[in-house]
Amino acid sequence: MGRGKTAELAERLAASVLAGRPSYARPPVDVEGLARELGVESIANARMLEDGRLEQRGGHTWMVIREDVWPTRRRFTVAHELGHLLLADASQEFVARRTLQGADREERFCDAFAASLLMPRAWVLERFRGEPEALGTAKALAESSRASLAASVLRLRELLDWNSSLLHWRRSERGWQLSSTAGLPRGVRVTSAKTTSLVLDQIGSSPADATAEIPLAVAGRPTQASMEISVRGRSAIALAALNCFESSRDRDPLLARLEHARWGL
Amino acid sequence: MHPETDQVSRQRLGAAAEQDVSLVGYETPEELRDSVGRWLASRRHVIVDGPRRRRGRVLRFGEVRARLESAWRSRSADERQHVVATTRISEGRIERLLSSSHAVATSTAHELSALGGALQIEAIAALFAQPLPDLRSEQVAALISAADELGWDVPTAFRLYELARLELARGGVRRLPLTNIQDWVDLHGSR
Repeated sequence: MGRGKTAELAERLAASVLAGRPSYARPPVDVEGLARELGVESIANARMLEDGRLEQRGGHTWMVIREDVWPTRRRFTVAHELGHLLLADASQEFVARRTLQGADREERFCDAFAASLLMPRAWVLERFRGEPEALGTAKALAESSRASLAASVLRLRELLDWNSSLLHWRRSERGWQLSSTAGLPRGVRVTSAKTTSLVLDQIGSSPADATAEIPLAVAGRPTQASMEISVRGRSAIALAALNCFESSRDRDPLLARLEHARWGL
Repeated sequence: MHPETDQVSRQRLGAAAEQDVSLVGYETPEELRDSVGRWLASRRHVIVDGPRRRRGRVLRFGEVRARLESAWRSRSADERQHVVATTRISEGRIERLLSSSHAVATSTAHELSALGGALQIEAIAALFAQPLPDLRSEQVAALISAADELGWDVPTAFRLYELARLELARGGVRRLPLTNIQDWVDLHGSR
């Protein structure tokens, strides 16, 4: 089953869950309340590596969520685990359970389900169709759905055919370091260039979003890209159209070295 | 293959009885060609599958090597001497074993079980366990990006790669995406 089919099934499941519950019909969806309504007895916090875990034993169901994740990511994780719960529910006659084979596909399905639950398709189309492809639009979706900015950009790419990718840097003692990306073109690997930190320092904190040329490395090769950027304290987020870069998988020197070590060649 | 008229030695007959060896006689070049063709056709799946099996072996032994190395490196000099004394494997031999997955793959069962026992890890059990799940391409790309961004060297990246596969092998319904740099930073920080 392809990605499109997986997303479609996830969309249908999320819509059917929300349809029977008017109080959850509009974002921000009270995802923890919904979890309890669906049979999750408790949602505990714990210090752990994974974002979240669904446990079922002796007829009881509970979730454990990593304690130090941002509230938006926590909401996505709870929604993701709900996807697993619904797939495992034998009383639910749902086609995805029969067609999803393999852990990776189930994970992709649950990510798609979480996005559909937190940012329902009809609501996103109604509210954001016609809005500019800009950081402000992504922030507005994130704020109104209480989803992460990364999840919001991915949803806008999926539903409104956005081309932009999201880049997030964090400032540490060593300077600005790229910590996450969302919606990169397939096969394009982006990291900071040597001068990225310097340029981000020069932009500095500002209440307004700016447009700037930011140095980047694509597959380790220096380049630069124009992007809309927002720097607040020790966090910098940028929205950039990176689809002009080709897939770098075949000529990525670090990938080649890891592959070398990986297979003991 | 041997001409039908030749006497097959007892040594070859013995080998055929004990090993994966077939002894086939032929009278004409056409018979020889047909027999070789049939043999290749019957073994085709094994021959074609060779690279995958070799990679699987490297991965399996890679995991055992990583566990052994981690346990060995965490021991003090005195504790290492105790391991050497109890296993009767020299320190040099242990270092050579831990230097590559191939060295572990070619070690004896006695060496592996002795070392696994002395280092108190279930190295042998791991050998017979299900192969570890491999990472998806986006997870590998994120690991490489993290290595690039944070300046990790290839051995560090490879250790994290092995660690991630062990984590994923633990199973359960868990959300462990490993698709972003920060996920790998967290995994790195957890050890």
